[in-house]
This record gives sequence, C-alpha cells and structure tokens, in this order.
Amino acid sequence: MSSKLIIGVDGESSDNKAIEFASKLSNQIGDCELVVVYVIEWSPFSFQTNEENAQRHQRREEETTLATDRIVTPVVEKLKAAGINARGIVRHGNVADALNLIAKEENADQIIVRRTSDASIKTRIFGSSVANLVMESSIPVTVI
Amino acid sequence: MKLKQKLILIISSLFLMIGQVSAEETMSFDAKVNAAFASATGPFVSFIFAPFPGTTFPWIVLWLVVAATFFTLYFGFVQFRFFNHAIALVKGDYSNPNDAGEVSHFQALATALSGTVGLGNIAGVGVAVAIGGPGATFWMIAAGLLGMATKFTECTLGVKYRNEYANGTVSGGPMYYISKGFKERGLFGGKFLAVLFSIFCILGALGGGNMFQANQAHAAITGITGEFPGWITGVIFAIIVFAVIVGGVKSIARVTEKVVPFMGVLYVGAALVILIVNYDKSAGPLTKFSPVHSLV
Repeated sequence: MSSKLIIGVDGESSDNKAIEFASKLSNQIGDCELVVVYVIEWSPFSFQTNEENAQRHQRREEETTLATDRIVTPVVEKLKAAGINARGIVRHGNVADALNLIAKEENADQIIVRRTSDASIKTRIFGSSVANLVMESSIPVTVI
Repeated sequence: MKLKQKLILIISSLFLMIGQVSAEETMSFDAKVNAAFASATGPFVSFIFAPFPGTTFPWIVLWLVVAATFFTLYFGFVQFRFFNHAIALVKGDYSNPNDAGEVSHFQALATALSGTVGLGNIAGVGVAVAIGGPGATFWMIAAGLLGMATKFTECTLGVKYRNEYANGTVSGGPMYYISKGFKERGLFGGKFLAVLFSIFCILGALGGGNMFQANQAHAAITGITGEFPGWITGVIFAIIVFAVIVGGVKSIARVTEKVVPFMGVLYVGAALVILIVNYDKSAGPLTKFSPVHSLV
C-alpha cells in the first residue's frame, strides 16, 4: 500500500529542512507520494470594501497562481528531479485547519512542517499555526 | 502631479471664497445655501412626500409598505421562515472549503450592512421619534420586519442578474437587474427605469449621502463645541470627500468602511445601555402607540 506525506511550506529558505526530511522518509518508505501544500492565510470573517469584494475572485486566482509558480512548483520540480513522486496544492484559509483538511481529503499518513520562530503578540495569545496544527491534527505531525 | 495642482488650486480658491464671507454675513450665507437647495429640491420633495388627498399620509410610505407586504406574502414570510438558515449561512455552515479565498457570506453581509447602517437606522430613527413620538418606534419595527423581505428580494435579484466580467471581477445592482429582468420577460422600459434609478442614486447621494450626513454631523459637533457657522463643517467635509474620491486617498475610505461594523456594535451597545438606564420607561412606546396618532 502506498504512503502519502503532506509537507507544509511557507516559501522561506528553512522549508528545505522539512523537504529534506520528507525526501529521506519517502526514500525509506519506497512507494510514497509527497504532497507539497502552501496555505494562503485568509479569514472568511475579515471586513472588505465593496471594491475588494468585486475583485476578490480575480485576486484569489492571482494569489493562487503566484503561490503555485513561485513557491510550490519549484519544490515539486526539485523533488521530481530527485526521483520522488510529488505534486502541489495551494489553498486559502487558516494554515492549521487547511493542512488538517487536506490531510483528511488526501487520506495522508503524516504531516511534515518546519518549526516557526515567530514570537509576535498574536502568536503568544493564539499560538502559532504549527502549535495549532499539532493540537488539532487527526494524523501524526512531524515538526522539524 | 497635475491632479495635485488642481486639488491645491480648488482648495485654495475655496478658502478664498470663505475668507470673503464676513462674520456678519455667515448666518445669511448658511440661510442662502439652505434656501437655494430648498427651492431646487422643493418640488421633488413635495412630489415624493405628497399625501393622499384629504389625509396627511404620504403615498411613498404606502408604496414601500405595500411592496414589502407583497414580497412577504409572495415568498411565504421568508424573513421569518429562513432566519435560522440565514444565521447558518453567515456562520459558514454551507461554505465549501474549496471556495476558501472567495468572498464569504459573512464578508458579503458586512459590506452590505456597512452601506446600509447609518442614515435610516440611526439618524432616521431619531428624527422619526422626534417628529412622531414614541409610538413611531412600533411602526418602524413593523415596517422593518416587512422590509426584510424587500431586502431579500433586492439582494437575490442583485446576485441573479449580476455581471461577471472576463477578468473575474463582478458588478451588480438594481440598474442591471431592472434592465436584464425586463428584457428577459419581454417587457419594455427596463432600460429607462434603470437609467432613472441611476439618476435617483446620484440625487440620493447628494441629498441623503452628503447634505443630510453633513447636517447631522454639524448638529452633533455643535452639540459639543457650541454654535458655529454650518458652512465650515460643510467645506471641511467637502475637502475630505474630494480627497477620497478625486484625489484617490483610498486609506480614508478603507478605514471608514472597516470601522462601520464596529460602529454597529457600538450603536446596539449604546442603545441597550440607554434602555437599561431607563428601564422603567422602556415599555412606554409599545403602550403609547396609536395607529391614528402615528400615521398623522
């Protein structure tokens, strides 16, 4: 039975650690697919102007294309070049919720993310995306 | 650069104009402006608020209430039957996770409310109670409950007949659904009514959107600072609005539009505080309303 691993990336250079770990794990497993996921932070409860609403659909497409071209595709190409079965997903939403949801949809075995060192007040009050993911996830999470 | 120069020129000429108005003439200047607009809008206002012959009941009120009652009956009391459904929609119970990033139900509602709350709900209620007495609140609640069906119809039509452009942006509103809907049913006059609606919108923006707002703001400011000529508030408002619309100062518009939802919360909170403080008089409006008194 083939395995499926989700890698959460955010376009930073430290993503490499998570990607390297996932590649290593994938090689060890053998029959394994890596799903590279980038989540565009977005809340359905933010306030928008009329103009923003009118352009939202277009902006969403642009954001998705930009994230796919600049962040996800380079990682997928790199993995494929190394002989690993990989593909990418870009989704809007809350990082922890979206990763968890994609893991469920994909019936994945594990989520791999890198540790963030963001120490803003918001993080201190509400917890980081990674901490939330660890608490909410229905499958094992590896934090590098 | 050209725009900036124009802006400076207009603002400086405005100040020059103001400088020419001497202190003794200020009252007459306000009065002159008032008289000029009153004579220009007078016939239109007296037509809109014309009473039925032999009564003091304006036909426009009957028109709005009849329309609201019709929508309420036609859609089988949609505003009450689907109230829970509306809450579930706004909560996101029906949202597809794959649509994340599109305008959410909550965002659509918040934006629609930001354009609605204010003139009618806040200033209008105060004016109505001042003119009609406490019983007016009963009729406003009754009309408001029926009016929910009008709003439902308006919003549904707005979405049904909206324009979706090739670049992914959308636009909608009565001017589109009137012309498209009439055409779809093979009726004539849709285009004419759509244009008429647009013209009324512009006039409404001048009267309700600018004059009434500036007037109310001036009344509120003088309540704190004491009397001063109204044109000062008017000119300051005009400069700010000019800067936002023509000068492209988007930041002001963005801030005000985003502040509106909090204004709504503040408004409801303040109303609750007033009700609690005056709890012994709270039942007054409901016991005091009389159909005859309130209608005349």
